[in-house]
Amino acid sequence: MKLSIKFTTIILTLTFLAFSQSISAQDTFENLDFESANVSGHSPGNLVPISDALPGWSAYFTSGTTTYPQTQVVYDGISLGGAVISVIDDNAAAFSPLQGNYSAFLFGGGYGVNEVLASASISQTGSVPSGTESLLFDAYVYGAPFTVALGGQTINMTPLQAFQNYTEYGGNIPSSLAGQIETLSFTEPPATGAQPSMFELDDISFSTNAVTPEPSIVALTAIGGLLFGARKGFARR
Amino acid sequence: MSNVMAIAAGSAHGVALINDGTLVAWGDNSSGQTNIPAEQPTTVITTITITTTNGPMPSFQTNTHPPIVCKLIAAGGFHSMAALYSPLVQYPVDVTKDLLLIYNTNSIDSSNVCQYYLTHRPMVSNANVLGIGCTNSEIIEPSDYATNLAGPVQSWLATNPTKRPSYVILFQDIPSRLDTGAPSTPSVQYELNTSCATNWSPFVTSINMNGTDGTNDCIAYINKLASIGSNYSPGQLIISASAGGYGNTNWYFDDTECCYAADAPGMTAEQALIQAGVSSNSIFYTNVYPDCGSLTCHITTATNVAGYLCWGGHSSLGPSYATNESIQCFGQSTWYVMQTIESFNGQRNPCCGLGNFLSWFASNAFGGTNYSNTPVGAVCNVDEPYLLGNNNSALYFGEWAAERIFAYCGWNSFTIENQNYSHCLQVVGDPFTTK
Repeated sequence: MKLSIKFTTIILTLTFLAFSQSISAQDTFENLDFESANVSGHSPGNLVPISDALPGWSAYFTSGTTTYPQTQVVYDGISLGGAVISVIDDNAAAFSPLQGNYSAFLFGGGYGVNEVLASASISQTGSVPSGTESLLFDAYVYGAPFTVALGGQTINMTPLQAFQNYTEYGGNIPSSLAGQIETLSFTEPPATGAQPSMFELDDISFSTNAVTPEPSIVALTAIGGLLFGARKGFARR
Repeated sequence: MSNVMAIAAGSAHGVALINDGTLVAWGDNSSGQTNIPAEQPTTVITTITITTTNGPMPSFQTNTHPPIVCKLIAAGGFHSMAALYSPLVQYPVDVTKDLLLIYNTNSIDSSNVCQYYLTHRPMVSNANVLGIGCTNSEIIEPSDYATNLAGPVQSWLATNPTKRPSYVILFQDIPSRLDTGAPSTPSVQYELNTSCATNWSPFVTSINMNGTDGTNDCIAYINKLASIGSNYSPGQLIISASAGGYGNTNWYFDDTECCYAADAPGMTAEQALIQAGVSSNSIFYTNVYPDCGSLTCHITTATNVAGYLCWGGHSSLGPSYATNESIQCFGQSTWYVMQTIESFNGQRNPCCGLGNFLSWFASNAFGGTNYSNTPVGAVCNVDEPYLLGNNNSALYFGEWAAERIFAYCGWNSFTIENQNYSHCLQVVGDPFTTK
């Protein structure tokens, strides 16, 4: 009898631990700097289980309304036109991590045997810290613009500061999402023209400060827009 | 003893070459004539450095799956000799043993192109021919591949134990992609090279530049082989245009591209050529990063072309660069090899804003008329190769400059490093051509 009670206690304890572990995993966003990657034993170019390459994250391609979940991502795979989700380190050709030892890299493009055009996404569900007003991250972008969504709402990301190899982006999030468990996703759509579509991502963080783009960035964006409008105006004439 | 491919006899000893590349010797050994070096039959030459009058050439890495290691044997009174296979040595190819042509019995076009090759391409009329009956789609399912493509090839090898062809040509309507379910599908060429039969790793190339629409492009390609062969290399299996005075002397490497700043394959190719003794005056190189957004930063005209590289759809050339007159060739520009840096360029249907190998061999390619400016050989990918999985440009063009046969240039550029990334190589063209 005593043995049975002890056994039941152990089971309940283990169940509680497992449950609390699960809650904890779901509760907190993890690996936002992608430094938890464990690619030991893999050669560049190999497929690596996503639980090792991008712990905490899910990965998937989307074409139209069809989603293709991925269980593996490529280690140091730099796409030449295909839809690819990759974790890169300093062994990757032509690119290096934006911060630390690892970055995530999303490429939109051809996917599957029939090469449908697909977007590449990673996502994670967790608790948005209370008091959060904005989302920040570093990125290198080429081709089609990326999208960021939190709780199903698209977050309008603004370039905050340009560095030599990347730009820091920030976007204000709806106050209703702070303190809630929500899904955060990053997506790079397929290219629309001949250019490839790439989005290297690192150092994601939540901030209690709202984002205000630096005047110089705002000014440059405004001037660019004016010039573009003027060019289109001339073209029409 | 079985599966003997060749035999040689001395005064009182004999040597036999078995179809797995091993040697067997017996008889008088008073001078050590039957001592076969233990390491020889399995030796894989991985790096060879060649010194020329212009200094050392780059070290060329041989294919990791070489064809039969020992190719020739001979015996004297009290000695024996064996020649290890090396594509760097152009031994006399016996097409009755060393060339296998494969066509698809389910496609009349495939049969016709193969037959046309046999009857019009110089010096191959006695080659081995195998008809297989699989899908004629670009993509083949694993079961169809095992039963109707690899299976018949394995049977052919079993019934021809004295033949282990180092060269295989796949004709139009033989599938080029194996649907393994992997994110990046391997090429049928790669599968045949690496896993069709034990101790057999042939250089597989394709004459499939027509896709599914008729046979004109394939026939025109074979006509070119016949024309250049008879005019510049009469009576030779290995056709060299430059040996007969053809003026394919210039190299064009257009590295202008959108967003891969640290990677410049054309530059490595240029360095390989210079090391191989090619005059820098014959090499035209451009590298603008990021792409300038128009054709002004690209190589748009080329004369007497020996080799061409570009970034295709990853630049302002756009995906139709081969046929929209963005790039125009002049002079003697029908005997060159090319490569582009882009995914899917080995698929029949252009994908994702990228170029496509069929357009390279079209009648109006590169500003030509009636196939005047098409290449004689090309390497491409049937799926995403990733940046590092693309062919090694230095090895590819360097070997072509060194006048290796095209089959070797193509396959040798698929290095160990490439194979970590992808298995989607497709080598398009006749194996026995040199610059």
